[in-house]
Amino acid sequence: MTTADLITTQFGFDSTAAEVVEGIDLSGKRAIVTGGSSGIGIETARAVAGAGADVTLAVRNIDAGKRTAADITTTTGNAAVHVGRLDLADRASVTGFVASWTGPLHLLINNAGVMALPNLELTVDGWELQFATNHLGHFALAIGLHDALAAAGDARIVSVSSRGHLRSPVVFEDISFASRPYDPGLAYGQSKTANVLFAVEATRRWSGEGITANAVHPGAILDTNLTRHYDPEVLERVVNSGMYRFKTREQGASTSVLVAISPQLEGIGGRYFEDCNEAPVLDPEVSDLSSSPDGVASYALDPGNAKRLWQVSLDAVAKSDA
Amino acid sequence: MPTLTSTPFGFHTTAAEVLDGVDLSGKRAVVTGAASGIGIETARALAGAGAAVTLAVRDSAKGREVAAEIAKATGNERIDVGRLELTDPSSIDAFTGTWSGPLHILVNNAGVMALPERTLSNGQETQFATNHLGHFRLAVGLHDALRAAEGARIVAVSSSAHLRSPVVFDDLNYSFLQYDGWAAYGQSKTANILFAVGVGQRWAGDGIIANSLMPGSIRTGLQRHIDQEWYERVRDQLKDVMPVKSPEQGAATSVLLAASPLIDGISGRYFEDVNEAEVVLERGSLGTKGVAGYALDPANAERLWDVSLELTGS
Repeated sequence: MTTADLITTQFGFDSTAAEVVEGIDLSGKRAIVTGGSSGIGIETARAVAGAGADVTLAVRNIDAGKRTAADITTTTGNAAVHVGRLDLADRASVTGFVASWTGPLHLLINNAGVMALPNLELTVDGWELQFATNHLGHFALAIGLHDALAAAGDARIVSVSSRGHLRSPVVFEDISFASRPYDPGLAYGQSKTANVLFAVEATRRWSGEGITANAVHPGAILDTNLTRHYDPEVLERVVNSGMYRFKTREQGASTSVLVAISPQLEGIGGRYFEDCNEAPVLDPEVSDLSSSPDGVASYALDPGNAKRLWQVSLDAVAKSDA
Repeated sequence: MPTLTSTPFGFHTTAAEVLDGVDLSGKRAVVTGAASGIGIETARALAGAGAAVTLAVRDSAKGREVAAEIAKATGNERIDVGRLELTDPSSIDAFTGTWSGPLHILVNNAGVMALPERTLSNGQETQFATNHLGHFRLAVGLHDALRAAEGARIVAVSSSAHLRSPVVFDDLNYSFLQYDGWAAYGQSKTANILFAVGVGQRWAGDGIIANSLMPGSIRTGLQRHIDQEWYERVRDQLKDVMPVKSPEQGAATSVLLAASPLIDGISGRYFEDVNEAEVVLERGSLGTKGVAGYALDPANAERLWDVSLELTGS
């Protein structure tokens, strides 16, 4: 893909979710935001609710979800903000959430995530927990909600990935670190590459049913729970390193909201956005990866990898449901 | 799962013991990295059994010293030295270009381990370039000679370090992944095993078989890039689970695969302590035995072969 083919918008680094959604009417649309009770999930849900959508916060903590829902209703005047319990690492929880959904679904925003678990943790099915939560949980959710998405006629899925995907491709031969020494950043990076590949293959498979999916890097946002597993001293060093320009939550939610609602993206999927614009493919021999550069790794957009990941994920979900 | 190939030999067996009673007169062998460590003992054992042996080495002067020593020890005068620098394609092509006649045994023994810094050789990470791509290019260049032998064997010296990393096709060069000398070594050693599987897929009809092995833990020049204090500490921890072998013991599994009738017709397998190893599902602690499933996977082997053809321009 040449740079000329990249989708550019009038928005950028500083744009907020509210600015991106301005003038857009989402009345009659139904949205799900996973992880909708913290960090950029709150602001993503607020922007979508503010535009008139019926929003369900899919969250682990129902109480926190209810408080957030009440807050969003107060600030937007939209009473159609619901809370559903969803623990992405627990397949039964995903199945339960899916089973209770009825009617069409227009927007599925896969926003929840866990980052940098310090030690290797495996699910009961033997999957590394960041891959299981960030990718497999959302995969099972999307598969389960497929018919509802298809029923919408023009549904969109947002896969919240991260620049962390530049740290690792999906290492198919050893996804759960049975052989490789575990590294928190590597495992996070692998799960975030999986988020991009999911968008590629979901679009290839489902665009005929009007379902498209794109991936986003929201930016570096400090005011979230995502950094909760970091050693505070390490986090402080990162913050003071000057390597990142930080965003507010409202800015951090803007790219998710953009790919969820922008008329410019109608029928377009399988792409990766950051700062509200499509990102170029990064050449690792040219870019300095230690400086946290813009861009997407080609392995994350590779159609062969996307197909392979889909099959691995289908097998994983089928095995766990058996 | 086919039955594992087992032999009467084991951890303590030496290369000479494995070849006891085996006559290699009229056979020709190439051993890379034969001027040091287990390469010397591999060449010595093959020469002792009567094979004409070419030591393929970087340092020709050192190679000549070793050749003279082997000739003296074995009484076999047919020991040659050929210059081979595995990171230099023109050196490999010069070596294969001057080879004439059949080649019965190719032992891909040379290797570099745990380079502390990421470096590239001809655009590829140096351990992968040396340990895998260089040997791949060499084998492809010698293919016709191997075929002409009508029953040639290739030996790929791998390592238990292959359990540290599959071949990461999406980032062979650690362009994205943070470089780790052991992970990169592990990747190159997985590639060695997959290469042997690939030979079985592509060259079986040419009468060529290939197997791979873990020689054991042997003090050789291979450890030159690692921190010696660390090495001694690890060695001490491993003294019970993975005792040190002598170079003569370390060469035993190589010569089994190179020349023993015990593995006639066996190809694409991985051996350690002179027996075929079991497939293991995880790496376990240091000193774990066994071979990773990803290293024997036929699809990975095919993919690696195609990538290697492309990267070497073969």
